[in-house]
Amino acid sequence: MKNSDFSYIGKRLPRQDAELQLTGTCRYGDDYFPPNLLIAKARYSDYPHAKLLGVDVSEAEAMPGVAAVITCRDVPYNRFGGG
Amino acid sequence: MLIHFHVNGKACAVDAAPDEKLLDTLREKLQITSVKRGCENGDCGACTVLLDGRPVASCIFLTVKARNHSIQTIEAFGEPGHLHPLQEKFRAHGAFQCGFCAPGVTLSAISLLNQNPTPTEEEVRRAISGNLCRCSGYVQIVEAIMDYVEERRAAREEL
Repeated sequence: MKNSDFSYIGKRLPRQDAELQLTGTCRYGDDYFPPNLLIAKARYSDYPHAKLLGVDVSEAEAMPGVAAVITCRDVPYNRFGGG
Repeated sequence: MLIHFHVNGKACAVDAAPDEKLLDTLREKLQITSVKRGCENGDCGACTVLLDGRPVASCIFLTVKARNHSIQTIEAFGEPGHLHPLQEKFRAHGAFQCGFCAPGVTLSAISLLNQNPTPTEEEVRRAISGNLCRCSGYVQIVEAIMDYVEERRAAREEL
């Protein structure tokens, strides 16, 4: 059997998604703007190597437009980090 | 602050904060999501747009600085069904995998080719050096651009 007997083997095939990628019309996760979309922002410690004694989120929660402040206490299973 | 500029040939007026980046204006106010949010540090080139024909990283470019300038995104050059001949080459060479860097790479290459229609491979590599591609290793990208350059050169010589 020769390669020319096959539909795909031995032939150059254009990628199906290439045109969308090249024209910027391909939508990645960051390109979806559903209604009521909220923006999340991570707040890291100011100190790279320190013991975390406490987290006070009251100031962040009081900021206008803040929907929620989520810490490790909001995550039921915390194998690493604890809370 | 009301900022006037042209985007892909169309006059636009946007209300922009003094510290607003062009990337955010284009993606969030003008819904041009072909301009990709990558590193937000000016390192990766995914957010590349052409400002008066020259590539700039829109993630570190203030919208207010674009006032009265002309901005082009990849939409200015091709759309599904009507690809730019360079985009056709990228497709034929399988130049991209995830494609996230593709609009930026293409704009950098188009800017180079507008200034220098017959670049060497070295010049092509330098022109797209501000556009990181984590999938491809650049080989097929450079081959596609050089194929386009050679084809155009041959077409000109035939005239």
